[in-house]
Amino acid sequence: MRIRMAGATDIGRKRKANQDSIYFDEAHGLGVVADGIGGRKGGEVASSIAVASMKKAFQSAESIRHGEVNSFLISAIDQLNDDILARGQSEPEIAGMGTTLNCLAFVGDRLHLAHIGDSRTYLYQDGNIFQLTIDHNVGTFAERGWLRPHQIIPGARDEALVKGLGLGPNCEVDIYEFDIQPGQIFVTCSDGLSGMISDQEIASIVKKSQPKIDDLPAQLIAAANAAGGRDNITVLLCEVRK
Amino acid sequence: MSRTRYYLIRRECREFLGPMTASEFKQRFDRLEFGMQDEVSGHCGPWVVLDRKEELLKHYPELAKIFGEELPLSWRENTGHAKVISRKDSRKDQKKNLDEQRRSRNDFHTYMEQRNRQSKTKKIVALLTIVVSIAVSVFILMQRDEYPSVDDVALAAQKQDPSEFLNIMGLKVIPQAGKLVKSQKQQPIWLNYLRMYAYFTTGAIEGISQKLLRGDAPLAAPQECSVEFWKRKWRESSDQNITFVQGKSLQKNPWTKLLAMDPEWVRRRPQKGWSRPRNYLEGCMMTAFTAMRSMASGVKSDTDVSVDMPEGVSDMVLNRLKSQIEVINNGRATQVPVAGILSRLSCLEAQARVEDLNLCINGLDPQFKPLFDERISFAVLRIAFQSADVQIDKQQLSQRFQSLAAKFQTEDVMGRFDLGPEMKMVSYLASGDSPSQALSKFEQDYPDLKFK
Repeated sequence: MRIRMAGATDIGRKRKANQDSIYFDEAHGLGVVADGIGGRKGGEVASSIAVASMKKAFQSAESIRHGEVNSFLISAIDQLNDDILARGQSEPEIAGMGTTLNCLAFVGDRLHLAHIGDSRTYLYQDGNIFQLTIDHNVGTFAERGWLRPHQIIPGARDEALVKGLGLGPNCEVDIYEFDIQPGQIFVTCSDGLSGMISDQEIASIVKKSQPKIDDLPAQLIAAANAAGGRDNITVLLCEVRK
Repeated sequence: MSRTRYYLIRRECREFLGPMTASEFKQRFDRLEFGMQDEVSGHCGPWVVLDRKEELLKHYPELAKIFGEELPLSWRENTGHAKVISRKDSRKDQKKNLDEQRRSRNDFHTYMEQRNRQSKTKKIVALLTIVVSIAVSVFILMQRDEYPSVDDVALAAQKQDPSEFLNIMGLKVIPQAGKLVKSQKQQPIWLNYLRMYAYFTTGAIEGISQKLLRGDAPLAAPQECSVEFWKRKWRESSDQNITFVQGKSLQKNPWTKLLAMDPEWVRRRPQKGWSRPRNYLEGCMMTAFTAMRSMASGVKSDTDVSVDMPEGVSDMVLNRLKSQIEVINNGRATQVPVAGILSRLSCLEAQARVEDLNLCINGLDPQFKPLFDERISFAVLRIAFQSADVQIDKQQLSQRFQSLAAKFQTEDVMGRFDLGPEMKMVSYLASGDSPSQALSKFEQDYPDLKFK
């Protein structure tokens, strides 16, 4: 199987800078989306470090066996977290910067998905769409019972991140595994897309565009902007082909 | 053209199965590819834990109908919280929810945010919000990163007496067990200690699914091995169990299968992520022992469970389990007098010479012959390795296993456990290899198995 990728990022309609970063490499089966934590100075620096570090980690790895992918991802992301913290310490004006990360590594017939923060990865197949990742924010954690009421500071917004890179020395990244099949499309995006249009709308746009995915990032970004474009919008599509 | 409805399963918050149709869902559930503690999602739908009957009925009635009618007992009472993992699909919904929450909270933060929406101080409020968000994140991360040290636990786990280990685990680790297994980094560090704690105690830990404790055990192994499970299973089939233990009839249920299980087969298969016990099946034997001891004491004092157990039955069961655990740990059972069907099995496992095996089956009820034919073959194979100087008719041994293999294609004696590695070993011996040569080849074929 081979993976066809297409992606794009857009500043949106309200923000003055684009703090999202994206990188994808079909040859290595690697796709990365990072969303610098909103409002924090240096968010764009953190997200760019995130994609650059993942790119470097994969390009410098000679070969990664199936059983080692998850530990490789955890190790690379730990290093990336250290890099962000170190950069913040050396440059006080961007200290405290953070980012989300969704990293898709296709190895053989399997997708290894590393996720931290509230950027999302969806699976689209035959008109069905499923959100694969769990949003690491206060609202989701409270709904799941992972945060008790007394652990939430009064007034904290549901969207407030519970996990992210650069927020502390220990980062707990989620790693998911997925057996891929031809015809599946993985849609990874920052919350500038998922916060503006519904999952149903995403599925509908993807369905209309098939089998061509090259124009899909632009179409999804246009839809998010049409809905208000309140945040930076980044979209990566990975289509599994025979 | 209508869309085929698919469902996706998320196992242990880390692996996905599917997408699959409703009928595939049923088939894969029947094949134990996922369990009631896993989550399901449909197109644009929320993630719902399968054992939450009401939520499943609400969001995916077609799935609830499929196995709700067949497995009503699998569904627990709905007593917990956060059963449905809802998602806010649209920005509109998000805004509506947030507005509702803000109205209901009616706190200072909300008031300030609304009042300043049209004022020049909006930026200050936004900044405050960010500071609060960061503080929440840091606070939560600090809370989540307070993991216990593994060093003390590892040291205590190595001691023969597990009491210190159990004490440390009970005080420092078990209260956080649910959190530890949710962490991708912490779970591999702690899982074998959590299993050790579980099977030295009740076979269950709050916040950890039986499926996770079980790990990659053979399909034929019980799905659960808590002390409560064994007590329940004994009550459900106590008459069958008693007639089996008394040697009156061959019965097949979780208790009799466990008691008849060949401990040597279990010993050969250490599982990754386990130390003490070395695998799930040994853990099952340990919790079954605890359950029987508890039931036996209850019978004597008339205070525990209402199990009518004839005299001697509990002792025979406890002796058998003790003997099995002894073989798993030491490679050989202690010689026991032959008194009952279970002691006949232990007798076979204790013999050091092939010619002495017949001592264990003198006067055996013919209905038990298939089980004992199988076990004699196992015993001969064991003796071939434990006593390398003993002369064994290799062709006869090979024939025994070939015959056994043929039977296993159509029937099983008790459990349907994989005998492939044993068959391979026999084929080496039958081809003229010495035990050490056969062992060398075997270790290349099955590096994870411990034959000797």
